This record gives sequence, structure tokens and C-alpha cells, in this order.
Amino acid sequence: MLRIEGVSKSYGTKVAIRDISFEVPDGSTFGLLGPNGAGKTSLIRIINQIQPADTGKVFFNNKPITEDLVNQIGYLPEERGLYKKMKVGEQVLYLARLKGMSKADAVREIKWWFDRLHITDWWNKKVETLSKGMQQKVQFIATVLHKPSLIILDEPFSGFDPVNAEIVKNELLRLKEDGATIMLSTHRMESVEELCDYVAMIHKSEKVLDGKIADVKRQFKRNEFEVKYRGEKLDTYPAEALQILHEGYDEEHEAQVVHIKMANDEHTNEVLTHFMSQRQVIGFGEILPGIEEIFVNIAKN
Amino acid sequence: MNKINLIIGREYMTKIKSRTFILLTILGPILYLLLIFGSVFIAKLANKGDVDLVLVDKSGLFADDFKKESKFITQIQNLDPEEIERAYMEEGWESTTVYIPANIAETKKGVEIYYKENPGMSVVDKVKNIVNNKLRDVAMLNEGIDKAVAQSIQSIDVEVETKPISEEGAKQGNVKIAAGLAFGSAFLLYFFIFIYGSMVLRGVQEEKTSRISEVIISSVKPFELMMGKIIGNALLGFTQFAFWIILATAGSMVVGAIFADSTQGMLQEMTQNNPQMQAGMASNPMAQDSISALMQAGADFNVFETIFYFIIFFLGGYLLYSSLFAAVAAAVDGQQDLQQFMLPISLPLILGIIVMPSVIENPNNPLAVFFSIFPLTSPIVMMARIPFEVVWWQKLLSVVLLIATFIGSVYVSGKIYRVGLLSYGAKPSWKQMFKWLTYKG
Repeated sequence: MLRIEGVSKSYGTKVAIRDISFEVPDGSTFGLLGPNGAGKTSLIRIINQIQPADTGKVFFNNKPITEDLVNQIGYLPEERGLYKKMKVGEQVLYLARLKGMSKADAVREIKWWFDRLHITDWWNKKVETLSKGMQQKVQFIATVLHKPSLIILDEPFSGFDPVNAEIVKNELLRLKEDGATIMLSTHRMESVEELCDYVAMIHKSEKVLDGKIADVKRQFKRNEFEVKYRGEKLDTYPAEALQILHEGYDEEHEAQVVHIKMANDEHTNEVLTHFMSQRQVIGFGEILPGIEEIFVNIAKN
Repeated sequence: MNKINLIIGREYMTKIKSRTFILLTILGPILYLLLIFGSVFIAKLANKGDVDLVLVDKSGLFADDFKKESKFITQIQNLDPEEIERAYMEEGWESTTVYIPANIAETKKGVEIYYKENPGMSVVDKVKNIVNNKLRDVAMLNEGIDKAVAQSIQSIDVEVETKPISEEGAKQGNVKIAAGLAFGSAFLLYFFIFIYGSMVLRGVQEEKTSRISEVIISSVKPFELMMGKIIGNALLGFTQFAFWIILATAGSMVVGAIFADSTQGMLQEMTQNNPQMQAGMASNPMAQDSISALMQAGADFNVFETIFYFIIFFLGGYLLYSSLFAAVAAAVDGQQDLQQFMLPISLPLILGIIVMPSVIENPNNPLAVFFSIFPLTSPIVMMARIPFEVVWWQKLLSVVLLIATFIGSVYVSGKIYRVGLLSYGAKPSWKQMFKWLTYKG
């Protein structure tokens, strides 16, 4: 869907992004991650042709991106707003027409979306009379109205109230099922795990990691396992356990919890046998690192 | 191109429907007239109000003349200068006192005005006039000149006609009308550039503070957005012009019709009741068609030329300043910072207004020529010179430089605008804005 090849951008002497390359697969939900100021927004602006790259190229469906192709992108910037004095309907219509929709098409689609999000009677309301949460709904509709094949949301959930965030999340999932590719940029990495299947991480203007989330997690696993068992706490742990990372009690399950680190994942059965011979085991599983954890580790090194 | 039309359309439609715009369009001419006539009226008003005057006239010549002056409430007393002083110091006099010595007719000096509160220049002038006129009358009488003869001598007032020579030969010219036209059109241009320029400014500012700019420029180029705004507001301006011109034409026709009737009626009445005047009128055909002479003079100023240059200089000045305004509004985030950048940018416009009186005084002085060619002031200053016939090469140079400058300013502003729209938070410095110009793209 989208391929970024060696893109760099500086503002004067300040480097915003340096030689970034990755690919956003068709139909994926792609998370662009990194702390504030890492260069995510600069990259997104380059993708949207809002500003040119100093070097490198962006390909959209294997073609160098042009203004016409940008019309197939739906972009919700981090700094987003609406004309306060305009009526909601007129405003969305204007934004849709700027994206190249005909008036008739735009009106039809707006009505459809307004009905869907239960704001049918908002057409003639002035934007300034809407609450912030209501405005966010309108902004979202304006972003996806022209049926973009790629939807780019910059920090989509910052500022959204939980109800709207849920609505937007569900609509995004539906659009994805209909074939849209979604790209989210965020510094809140925990929000990515449930939505995204691909990620790229940017740190200090450079890409430090990208790929399928499952692959990334597997790549960074540290052979840590969790055992839950009932009864008194064990005095001795199996020899395969190199390190005890955590001991605790899970009240919900009335179980002892222990996290152990092993040299590799080849001897899980031996470990499990050790526990099973002495206690009733109610849970056993591998602990995979969270995206945020992975990021923090990379950033540290 | 299609997208820029949408932007122009939105800019135009949302504003033309807005209540403030409609109100301004209707009230604009009224406000402008109020401003012009208001200042005259206020000046008159300031002179009104009767002045309490004590006249101490040792010569005994002036009592009647002072009493005739409607502005003064004159009270006649006979005091010595020392007594006058004492009256103020000890009795708490408030009114102004005019002291005229006994031998005024011979010495022609020694008139004094005593006061607690400064009576102002106009009172001093009036007193001076009364005294001088009386003394002249007396002097003429002493020389045996008849009063009627004296009056007819004094009322000699030759009209001087100015006839600028152009290619078509000598024309009727009227410096006063030219000055009025110069003042009026230059001021109007100043207002228009500011009004429509600040409409662009506010529009950009709204987009920046409401954070919609980035949404828009993900669909259109920043330059298109800026030009769309500028063109949209210019069209709005022309709509207002058109409306006002129609209004003015209709208005002047109505006023003209009413005045023509009533002046005609008045003249008839006056001449009928006053046979002497009738004779005077007959012997002085100039007076009869002084009104038509005035209109003739007005027509001799090439109205079309003035309107033509007005439009050229409006467009040039507006494009120049509105693009600068747009750039600054895009660069800063918030009202206060904006003010700080606005002042230096609008300074040249204000300078144009400041030098205007001296330009009208002498339209061809080197300073006037310079400011009428220098592109930041030329729209206003050249407009003030045009009614006085400007050499063709100066007009050409002025227009060419203005066009070159606005192309440059639109280009530079476009760059600042593009970067500025996307940077939030900290206020940029001039240096930073300058740096933005070097950014690629």
C-alpha cells in the first residue's frame, strides 16, 4: 500500500527524520510509534505531500506519490479543528469537495455518516455550538468520508473522550474489514497493541524497528515464564530457573504467582513437572514483552 | 485550479452572508461621510458656544461692532487696566476682558485681552478682525472715501484659474477639487487596503487558532490556500465597490436633482425680491453658472483615469499587504504576538498617510515623487498625486515597481505562510521567519 524509501528531512540545521524506510502492507493496521518529537508528524506530513522530503521517496500502490494520489488518503492531523462559524454540513461538504468529491456524492455520503453516528440533525448547527467531543465526531467523518484507501491518524486518541474513542475504534475496524489500510501514529504505545498488527518505531529521528507486532515481540522475548499454582509458596524452584523475577499472590485466582527466567524455552516441561509434582498448577505461560517495554529497551541502548 | 475555486468560493460566500459584512457594506459609506463631515462638524462645534466678554473701550469706537458679533455676549464697562487686574485678582472675575486704549486710531496698538481661562485662537482672531475692520473704515472715512465705494473696493476677489497643459492643450483645472479628490481617494485606498488586508489576516488567524489549516493543506497546497483567501477577499472588496458606486451614482443623481431644483428656486426668489441683486446677477454671468462651472471642472479631471489607477493601486497595494499580513498571521499563534509583528509591517502605509498633506501641498516635490514610486507607500502617495497630473513615466515606474514587489511579497509570504501554518507554540523571531525562506519546497 505504502512504501517509504530512505526519507530524510531537516529544518535548517535541525534533523527531523533521517533515512527512514519501511512498508505498510495492504489492509494492515500500522502503528507508527515514538516519543513526542521523534519525527512522526514530519514523516506523516511528507506522506501527505504537505511538505517535501529532502531525500527519499514515498510510493503509494507502487507509484511515486502525487497530489492526485493524496486524495485517496484520509488524514486526521494531530492539530485538528474546524471553522467555528460554519455549519456542520457545509463544513464537511467543503472538506469533502477539497478532496475531489462531487457535490452530489459528498452530500449523499455525509447523510449516510450522519445517520450512522446519530447526528442526522446536526447539518445546520454551527460548529461553535458543538462540544469538543461532538466536534471530534465531525472531524472523523470528514477524514473518512471520501472512502480513502489509506487512513492516517496522528495521535488519534489524544483528546478524544472514551465514548468517542470507542466509536472511532469500532468504525476503524469496520473500515479495515472493508479493505482500508490504517496508519496510526502515537506516543502512547499501549494503545497500539490491541489495534495494530504492524509497527514501526522512530526514535531520535531514526527508525529503530519495524515489522509485524507478533514478530517483533517474538524477536525480543527473554524466555520469561509465569507459573500460577495453589497452596503454600514453594521453597525451592527448579534448577532450570536462572532467575526469579517476581513472586506474588493472585487473589482473584487464589494462587501463588512466580515469574522465572530461563536460558531458553527448551525445558519448560521439566520446570512444569517440578511444580506439578508438588502443587496444583492452574496456569503456565510465556511472558512476551510489551511494545512499550521493547521500545524503552531499544531507546536505552 | 478547481480547488482554488472552492477556497475562493468559501471565502466569498461565508463572508458575504455574514451579518458584519452586510452591515459594513451598508454603513460603510455612511461612516465614511460621517468621518469626513464629522471632522468639519466637530471643528465647527468647537468654535461654537458664546463667549462672555467685557469690553473696556476707551476710544468709544467699537461698542456697536462688538455687540453685532453674535459669538460674543458683550458687556461694556469703563475701567482702567489696574482696575481690570484688581477685578480678576480680588473679585474673582471669570469672563474675558478686551481693553482698547483711547488713542487706538492714531497708534494702532495697545489692544489687550485679559483672561483667566484661555479663550482660544478664534476669539483672539475675531477681536483682531473687529478692531482692524473698524479702524480701516475710520481711516477711509477720514480720507474722504465713501463707505459704499470702500466696500466695493474691498470685495474685489479675482478667481485664479489653473490650466494644466497636456497633450490635448490647455484644460480647465481646479487645484481645490484636485486636492479634495487626492485626499479622498488616497484615504479611501488606505482604508480599503487595511480593511480587506485585515480580513485576510483574520481569516488566516482563524484557521491557525482553530487548527484547521493542516486539515485543509492536506488537500490543497498552502500557496493555493493563501491565494484563494486573498482573491476571495478581493472579490468581496469589488462587490462592495460595485455596491457603493451604484449607491453613490444613485445618491448623487437624487441629491443633484433636489439641489438643482432648490438652488434654481432660491436664485429666482432672491432675484425677484431684490432688484439690485438682479442687476448684479445680470452683470456677472460667472456667478450664475458657478455651479455648472464646478461640475465642468469635476468632469475635466479624468474620472476614468482616477478610477483606473484607484483599481490598479488598490489591487497592487492590497496584494502586497494582504500577503504580508497572511504570512505574519500564519507564523504567529495568538493575538498579542500578532500585534507586535503587525506594527512594523503596516508602518509604511501609515507613513504614506502622514506625508500626504505635504504631497498635496506640492505634488511634485522630491519627497512626494520618491514616496509615490517606492512600492510600500506608492499606492497611497501616488493616488494622492494623480489628480494633479503626474508625468507618465512616474506612473509607469510606480505601477511596475508595485507589481514587481507584490509578486516578490506573495512569493516570500507563501513560503513563510507554508512553514508558519504548521508550526505551533513558541513565537518565531524575524530571524527564524527569514530562515523559513530557505526551507526546501
